[in-house]
Amino acid sequence: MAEGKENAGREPVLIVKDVTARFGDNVLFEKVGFQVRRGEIFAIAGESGCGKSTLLKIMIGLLKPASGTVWMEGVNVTGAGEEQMRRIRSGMGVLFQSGALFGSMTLGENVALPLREYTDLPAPWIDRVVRAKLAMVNLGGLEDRYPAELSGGMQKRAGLARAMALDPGILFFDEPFSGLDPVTSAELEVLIRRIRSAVGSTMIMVSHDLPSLFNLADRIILLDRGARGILAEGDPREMKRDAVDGRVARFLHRAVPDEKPEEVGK
Amino acid sequence: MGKTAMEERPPGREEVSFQVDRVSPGERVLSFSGSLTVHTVGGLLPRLREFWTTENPAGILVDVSGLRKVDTAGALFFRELEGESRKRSLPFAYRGASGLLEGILGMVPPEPDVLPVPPARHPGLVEEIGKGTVAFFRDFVRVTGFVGDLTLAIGSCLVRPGSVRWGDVLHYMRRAGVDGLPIVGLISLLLGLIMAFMSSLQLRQFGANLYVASLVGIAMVKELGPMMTAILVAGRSGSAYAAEIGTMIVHEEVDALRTMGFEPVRFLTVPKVIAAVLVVPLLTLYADFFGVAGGLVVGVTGLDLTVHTYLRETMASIGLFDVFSSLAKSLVFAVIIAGIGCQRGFQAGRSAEGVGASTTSAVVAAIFLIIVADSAFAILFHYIG
Repeated sequence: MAEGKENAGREPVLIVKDVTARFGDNVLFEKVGFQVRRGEIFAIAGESGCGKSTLLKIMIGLLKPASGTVWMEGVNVTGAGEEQMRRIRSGMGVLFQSGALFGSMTLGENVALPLREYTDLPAPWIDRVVRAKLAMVNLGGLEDRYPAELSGGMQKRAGLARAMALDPGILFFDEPFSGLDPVTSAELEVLIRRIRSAVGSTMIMVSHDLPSLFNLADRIILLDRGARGILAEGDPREMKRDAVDGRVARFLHRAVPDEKPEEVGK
Repeated sequence: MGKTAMEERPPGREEVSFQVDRVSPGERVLSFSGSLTVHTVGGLLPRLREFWTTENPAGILVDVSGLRKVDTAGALFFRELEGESRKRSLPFAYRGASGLLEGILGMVPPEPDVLPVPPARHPGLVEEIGKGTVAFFRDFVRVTGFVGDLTLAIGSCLVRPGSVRWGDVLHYMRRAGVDGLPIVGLISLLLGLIMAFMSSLQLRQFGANLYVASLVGIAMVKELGPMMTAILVAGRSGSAYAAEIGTMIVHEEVDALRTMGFEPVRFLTVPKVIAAVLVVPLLTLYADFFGVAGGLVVGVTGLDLTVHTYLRETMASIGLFDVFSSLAKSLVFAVIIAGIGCQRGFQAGRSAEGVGASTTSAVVAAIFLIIVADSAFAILFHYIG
């Protein structure tokens, strides 16, 4: 992860400060704070139900936190008006867990959608960009196919092509590897790495797929339901090696709580 | 040393035998052999109860060396035995436990964490009324908010017609309009036939056959044409809109729209509303035509009227105002159907059940509002006309 080390000193593009999320009386997490630096691959990990996806939705402005602020590229996402949100959204892309492609549109139309909304490119140019984006995710020539005609992995790649249609500075991924077989996961990892080096986007992903986290992420935070917040933060490989906290070790070593401490880490 | 043997022969091939040995004045050895499983435990429970009532042991030793098979129910049986012994402060031990038994006992905790279940609380009538009122007002607020969003979206589309997704409008026009032609035509024709036939039975007695034409014409054009068309479109298309948007919410497509900066109400609702507004009045005219045609069939074949006479009577009874008021009504019905369909879709939640409920709710609410609007129109046209 040489690129990650290089990026370590760069300025933050996303700042999450004292964010609390609650549903009714149930506090999911409180006073969560971290920074993501430009160009790094940053991951939010943690057990199911700890609030990873909620945190992602707060970061991209789909949910309002109970308290706290999120700053993206110097703009306060949590308090942004409509026009500011539009500017923020034109600079970010989101790959949803299921791909979230529009079933009534072809792949080409799906990828063209943000280009039509945010640019004044003439139609032939939009087609060229769409073809290029789909080729980048190895779906060249499938512009006229509908999402239902594709496998889950292909739908995710098409979703990625749509998320990066505007070459956004920040790409968000919600569980990008869930439901994929190991080979398809590995292909997606390679693709994400290639896009990072080609486009230089900052990538923020929510995932509990440990092999992919170790392969991709420069830095991770570990959310914990019991702690209602961040349990640990850092380079995942170093965290795995040096983990002192039992919960961190158990998560990164995939150990179940009943196992004896000496078994953890083997 | 006394010995009591009890044999259990449950249905199937599995069987268990249970034997109590009195090794000393107080200590009892309970020997089990065979299969202690979900199929055999039930038969042992009365024996166990009988054992606790007739014997007064000072210690329990359970010999399981003869057991071939123990499943979860068997393990729970032993846990029960352990619990009862503990309650009576009796020493308890196993003899001849195999790895198999230890394994299954390890999966069944000695004292299952059974939390006391609070008795189900039945809300009283006042509470139910209160909850219903709150839910009604919440729904009202949501619908009002949606109407506001929709009005803004349509207003912005009127200012910039280029921003409307006309391809989608055509798609929904085909789905709601062209695809609905057969059913709307058939139902209207049958409606016309039935009305003409039933009314002719009465009117014939007075020699008023001719009035069947005006009766069918007025009823179809003024009331039944717009209303039946609207109800059919609500059933076909309003429900489809709710299901489509609800499914998009489940698949995170609406979230994706928001993150790409699209306003979902404008993106998803406006094309549907425009399509419905364009198509429902046309369908209404089509339904009127087929209704009159149905009456015509009865008039010509059963009432000895000529085609010319029937049509002349129909045209004489229907004014231009009636046709336009019918179209105005159908326009409002179209907005109700598409608007409610989309609004219910947006509040579907993120589950399959939610999508189903929103679809049902879209049809029920649309039909209810259509009838309410129709009543309002009846009063309005009474004063205008």
